[in-house]
Amino acid sequence: MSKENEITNTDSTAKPQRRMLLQASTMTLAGAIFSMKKASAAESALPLPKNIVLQPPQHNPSSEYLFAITATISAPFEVGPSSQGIVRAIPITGGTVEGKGIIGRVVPGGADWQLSRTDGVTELEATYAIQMDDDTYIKVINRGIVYREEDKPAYFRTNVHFDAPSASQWNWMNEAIFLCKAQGHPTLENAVLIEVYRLI
Amino acid sequence: MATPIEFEWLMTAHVQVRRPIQIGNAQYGYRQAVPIGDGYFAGPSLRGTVIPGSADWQLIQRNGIADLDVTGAMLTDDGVTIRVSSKGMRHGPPAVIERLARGEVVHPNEYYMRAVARFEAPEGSYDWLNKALFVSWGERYEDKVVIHYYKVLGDE
Repeated sequence: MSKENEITNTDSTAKPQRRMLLQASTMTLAGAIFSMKKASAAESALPLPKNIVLQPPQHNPSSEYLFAITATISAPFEVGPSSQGIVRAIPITGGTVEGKGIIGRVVPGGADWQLSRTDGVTELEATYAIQMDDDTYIKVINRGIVYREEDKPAYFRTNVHFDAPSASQWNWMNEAIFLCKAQGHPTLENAVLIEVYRLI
Repeated sequence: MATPIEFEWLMTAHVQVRRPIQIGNAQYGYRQAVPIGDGYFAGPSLRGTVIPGSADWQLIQRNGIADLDVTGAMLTDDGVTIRVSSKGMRHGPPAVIERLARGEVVHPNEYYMRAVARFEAPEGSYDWLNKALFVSWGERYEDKVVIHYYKVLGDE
């Protein structure tokens, strides 16, 4: 995409005809969401459009499994209570990357910085590198949350961001949103298992 | 093992966008901000209006991918103000992006406009938004965007 395209794309000096068409297509979205909550809408003085109703989109996003990162870790150390919660770091000491056509290792020396908030949610931010079997290094920043409620499996989901060299076969890692399921490794001690999915 | 991550529809937002504020080519790429105007959102468990006045700070990278970064506020119909912060990307085949640029209506499946969204809701009836990850699925039109938000589901 050229920058010129992007600029004209967001130019709002549209032909009125076209704009009307756009609005008309919006208006035809039918459903019950707005009418469902009519009572509460009437109580508020907000300028909600009266005749526009929304229904769930025709499509739902999906995800595609790509590879798993097994990261070995050593004992956490705690910075302690800060203004937002308890801050700790978990050193990342190594590990493996495995998937279809993907083999690599976790480069020792990163860390997962965590913040345990007062509302019970722990935020994670792990920064490290992986090295693929063609020797390419890729920077990894994995941010997400863990939330444990009684009688429920922990909610442990993250959004991982890669920085891969543009000229490499790994450039596709720069071009999508990636999500992870994460958990303590089911079979290895002192390791976490991170399954990486592409948001389609 | 490795069953796909699943999603649950949270809401759809319709938001007017204005002329971009152009910074131009800077150290990271072509930088511009697209101001956010009026809008509204609705879903099964929340609805209300978009508070105008924020902007989508975009970075058009040298590889053509537009980084999107917007932080704004929304007001529910029962009077709660919630911050929403969304970071993602838009890209597609050059011909498709050119059609978008000309203001044509392009089916959103023809390009990739996705983001990860986080909310900050005050303690109370909407603070469940603070305890999960969300993604968004975007549609770009000439002077508006339609954004569908979904919760990233956990394990059952």
